[in-house]
Amino acid sequence: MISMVRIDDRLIHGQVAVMWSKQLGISRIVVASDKIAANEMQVNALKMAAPAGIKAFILPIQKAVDLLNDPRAASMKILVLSNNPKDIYEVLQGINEKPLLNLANYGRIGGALSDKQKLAETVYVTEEDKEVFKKIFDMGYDFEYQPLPSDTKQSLKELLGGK
Amino acid sequence: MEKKVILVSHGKLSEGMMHSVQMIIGKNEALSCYGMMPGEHYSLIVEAIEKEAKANPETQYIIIADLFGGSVCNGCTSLTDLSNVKLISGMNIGLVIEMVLAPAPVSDEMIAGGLESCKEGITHVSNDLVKSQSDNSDENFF
Repeated sequence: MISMVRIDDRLIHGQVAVMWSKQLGISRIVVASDKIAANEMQVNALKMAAPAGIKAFILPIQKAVDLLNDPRAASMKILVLSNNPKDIYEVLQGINEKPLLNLANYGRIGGALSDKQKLAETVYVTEEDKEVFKKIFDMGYDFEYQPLPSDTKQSLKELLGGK
Repeated sequence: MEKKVILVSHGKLSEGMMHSVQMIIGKNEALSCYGMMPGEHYSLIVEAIEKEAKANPETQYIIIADLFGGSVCNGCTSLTDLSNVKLISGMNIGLVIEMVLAPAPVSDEMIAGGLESCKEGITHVSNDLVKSQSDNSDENFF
């Protein structure tokens, strides 16, 4: 079972590894990204960032979807991460469940911040991102902007002006 | 039972540690800090904590000191006579997070377990260690 899907530039880091994993009782972390899965260095570094007792898997999107749809995954508590909305859109198209979506720490790396729209303290989006988010909204989802479990949730749809 | 975690150190380590911990777990009112500045005596810190701990016998105080054998830690040793005070040395970010997030009251066994898991985080991040993490197979997943 997917406990949560999160978009986060930093993928597995303190907030995710410590707070969200504990809050949700996570047993597996899946980073779904064709690009990251192809980079051995990054794969190994991310695996090391997983907290004790939680196994992390860095997988190409199709592979991640196959594992998430495996009947044996139903009894697990899985956190799915990626660092961009496109990957998440692809994951959502492939999986059989309709998980909770979360977003924080997005858009501050890669590209000029001046070309982006600031939606929240830690979220900056491009026009292209907005197109992808719209497609995800059209599938019946919203994202919760919530960096830490103790932070107040905000709807991404609302942050984008209800579009 | 309520619980408070107090960080004590030489200089600004405890203040910086609190700042860093809050970046990861968010602001937490159960966490506070004292630093002994150059020229100051540790007794200022010890007296302040003693006063607070005696005034709130229903609150557990977990003191985390920077250095075993250092004067701040040594000074705080006298506080462990109070039944609601526990003292741990070797402050690091993993340990502080573990103690802040632990349910109160924190037992000696919980402290021992927390120290063990924090020690795993003190390690040589070598190429061999990095490579040993890389089993990405299905069998490992299920």
